[in-house]
Amino acid sequence: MFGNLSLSAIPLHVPIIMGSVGIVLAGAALILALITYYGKWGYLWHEWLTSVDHKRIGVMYIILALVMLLRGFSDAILMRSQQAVALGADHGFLPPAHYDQIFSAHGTIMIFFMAMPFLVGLMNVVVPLQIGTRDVAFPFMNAVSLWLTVFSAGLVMASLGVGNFSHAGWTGYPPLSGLHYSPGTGVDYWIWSIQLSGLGSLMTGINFLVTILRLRAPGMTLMRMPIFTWTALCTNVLMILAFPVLTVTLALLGLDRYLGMHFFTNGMGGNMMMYLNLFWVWGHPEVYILVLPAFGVFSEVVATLCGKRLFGYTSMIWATVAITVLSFTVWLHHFFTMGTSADVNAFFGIATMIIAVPTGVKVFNWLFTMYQGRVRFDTPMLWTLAFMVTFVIGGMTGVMLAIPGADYVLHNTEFLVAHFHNMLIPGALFGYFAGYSFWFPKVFGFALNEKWGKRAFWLWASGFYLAFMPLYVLGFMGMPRRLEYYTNPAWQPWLVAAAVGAAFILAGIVAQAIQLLVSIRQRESTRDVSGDYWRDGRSLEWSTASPPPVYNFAQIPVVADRDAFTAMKRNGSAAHCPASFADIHMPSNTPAGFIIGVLAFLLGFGLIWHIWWLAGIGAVGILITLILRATQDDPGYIIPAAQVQAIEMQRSVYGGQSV
Amino acid sequence: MLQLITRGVRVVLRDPPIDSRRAGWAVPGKRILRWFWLLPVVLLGGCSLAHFPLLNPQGPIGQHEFDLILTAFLIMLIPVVPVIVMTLWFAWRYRATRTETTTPRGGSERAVEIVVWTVPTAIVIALGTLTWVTTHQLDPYKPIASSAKPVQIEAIALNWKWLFIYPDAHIATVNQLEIPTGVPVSFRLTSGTVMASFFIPRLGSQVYAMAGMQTRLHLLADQPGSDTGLNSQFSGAGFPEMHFKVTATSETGYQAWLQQVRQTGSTLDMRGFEQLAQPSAHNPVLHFASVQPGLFNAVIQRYHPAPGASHKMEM
Repeated sequence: MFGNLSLSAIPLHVPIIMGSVGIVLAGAALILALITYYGKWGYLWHEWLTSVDHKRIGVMYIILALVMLLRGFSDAILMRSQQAVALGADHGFLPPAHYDQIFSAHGTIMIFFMAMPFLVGLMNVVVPLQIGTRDVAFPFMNAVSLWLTVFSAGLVMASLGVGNFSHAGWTGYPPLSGLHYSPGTGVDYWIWSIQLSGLGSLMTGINFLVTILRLRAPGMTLMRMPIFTWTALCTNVLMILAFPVLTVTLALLGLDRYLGMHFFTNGMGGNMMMYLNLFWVWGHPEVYILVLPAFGVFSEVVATLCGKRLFGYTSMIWATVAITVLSFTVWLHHFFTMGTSADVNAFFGIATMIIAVPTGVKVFNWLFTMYQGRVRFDTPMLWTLAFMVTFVIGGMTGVMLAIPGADYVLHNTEFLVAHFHNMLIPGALFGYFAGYSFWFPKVFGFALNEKWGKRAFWLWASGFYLAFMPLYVLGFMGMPRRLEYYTNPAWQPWLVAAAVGAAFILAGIVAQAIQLLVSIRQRESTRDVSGDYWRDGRSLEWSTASPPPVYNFAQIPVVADRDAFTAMKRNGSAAHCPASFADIHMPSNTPAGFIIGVLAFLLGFGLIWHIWWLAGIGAVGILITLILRATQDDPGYIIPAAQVQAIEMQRSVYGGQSV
Repeated sequence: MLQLITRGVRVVLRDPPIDSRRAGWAVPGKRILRWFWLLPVVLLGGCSLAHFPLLNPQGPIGQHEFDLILTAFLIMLIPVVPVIVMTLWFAWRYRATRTETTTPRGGSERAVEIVVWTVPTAIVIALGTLTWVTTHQLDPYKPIASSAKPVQIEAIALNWKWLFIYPDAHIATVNQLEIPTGVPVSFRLTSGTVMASFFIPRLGSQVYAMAGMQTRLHLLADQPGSDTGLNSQFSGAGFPEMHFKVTATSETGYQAWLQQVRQTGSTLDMRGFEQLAQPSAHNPVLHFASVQPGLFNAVIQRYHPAPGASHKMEM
């Protein structure tokens, strides 16, 4: 009846796991109780869970990202405390079965369920506003992407209390991740959560590519597009090209595990080297999927908070495009040590370095945007400055790893761990944080508290250096990654320092939580009445109200310049109330996206535990939902001109004007 | 410029002759270099270079790789330091709260743009050249030029220990590697389990060991001493145990050690191997006085059964 699932799958005897499960369940129960207490179920369902509004979907993506950041960071702090104490005969407080799952979950969560939702959330919030459109090209598909991602994250969370998560690392190299060496359900949790969320990412890529190419406001040529939208465009291209590779790779691994095939097994003609190639053909572009939108955020922040047009816009775009193309030519640098010939290794090493050229150009362009500008040290700018200083260090160690001769000794050591955190924390996460504080007033109509934002920033930035610089040192000491315990006492001081760094980051996260609460309490003092919160907003999102009305723009703006809103402010049209209003057609909400998410969860859970009837219900249910949705006549709804006018007249920038 | 820097580095690295009796691997040898690395290290942790196998390597491969890391690092300081300084300086110099203000000048200036593309390109051309040359010099498959006949060693990764076969001496060990100094060691690697990476940090390069396949690696120790070798590729629950002691001794010491193993150990055949291949951690050092000839190839062939043969072996 329940496949491989029995009550023994719940690790009731392991206090650490049960404690974590207890905390997660208590948190969920508290949220549900609060919603019930305030009678908000109807509001939540009608306004959020069934919403197809890109802004709300974006906000829900970012909420997911922040929640999963907490989970992924809990894993991180467990690893850092384990390694700080696990010297010699004292094997620390985590048994291997648990520690190995933690580092596998940490990587999987941070990439797929923290970084991806965060950047997709930012894209959702910002891109349609920046290109002057009312929604994305496929609003319903957008909701499906969201709920697939949310419920895949749910699968990862379920693995905490029901069964195990993968212990084969976030990269899941076979044959270790094959059935012979990983007979449990852990790897299956890993496969299906990634497969379902990967499907969501692919649909997001298609959705936003079409949105950006087809729905730009009149006059917005490609070379007038805001830089964040440009980076989003390139990221979408990468998503569309790279994610299917991952889907197929994991499907092949799934065939090995479920049907006894031999794509990546040791014997019977299986070849794990093929998996490594395929995985990184997705994996390396994935790095740029994560980093490019953050580059976009930094570009917007630097230009806005230095009060200057972005230096070298054209260079920036060509650099972004160059990175997009080159990202597909470097995957082999993840395994120079596999025994490939010197010619091949040298080729991929040099190809990797070539990416440093467009990346270097970007850094110089941000620098020259600051030059002779008026640099305001608001929180988004602080994240940007920390990024620039820290990222070049990560770039330097990255070029070291790109030299095969150096990689032969640095590979698989803590140096590598330090390097990719040095790229992804400043290069992606700091960018998302900058975007979060930069566009928060746009989305909610009030700003985040600066005092707590700066505290969070300093804790994060100093915590980063404290946590990861010691790992570079440990790499030179020859310490391999993923060690549950060790016998070399010389490593311990550095691991203790890294653990202290993790504690700093924890304090930074606490400061961010406080910042959010304080900001909500004091929202009246930071109310954004103009819509142009930073006063120097340059692109179209700042031209509409904060928060924007559901239709974004009462009249679709006409773009005449690269910095469209700056031009409008200069020629006076920004504060000019439209002469007349027209009816606006909007897509109506639908529960289908949410329902598909739930059914996908059942499908995944059934597949993981071999509960075939449950998987069948999930799969057939999804199909039926899609057919019903497709056959339903849903023409959307009309917001009458009078109502649009009433909403617009509340804006103070139009104060005193009448139609 | 590249040559200049490389040469400069080489000069800095040139060792004074080392008293061989004093020079175990744990003793830092590069006197001139000592200030360079030790200064920040001592400031930070009071450690000695002995704990840094990558910065205090042994033998030509490790030494060359260290030189390469240092050279690349110095070349990259050329753009990295100015960028960090300019970021902080521009942020401070053009801060909005400053009283005297400059009028922001927007737009792109062609001259700056050209510089912005040229500088990284020049650096990458330099590093790319360095990469092409050194990747061929340091190819792990390339035999090390030497008048001495290389020692052949076959290493097999198992869960969670290393089996070393000395085919010419017909002996084998578990979790112990003994090599003569000044003689190239030619490794053949494979795995009897999941993927592993054979790595002796102080000697240099690592290479993956994979089941059903053979990979190659050439290393050389030029001083006597001992240190740790390990598997750097995560391989499951017993992974932290998968390290071994590697000792380099003089040719006579090495011969004496071979003799000792021949007298004390038992025999290793395919059946014994299958037992050894069972997962176990905390493995003591084992010696085998004789080894079934062709065992290494037989372990590889386990994964390539003849068509129609029964599929009993693990997949």
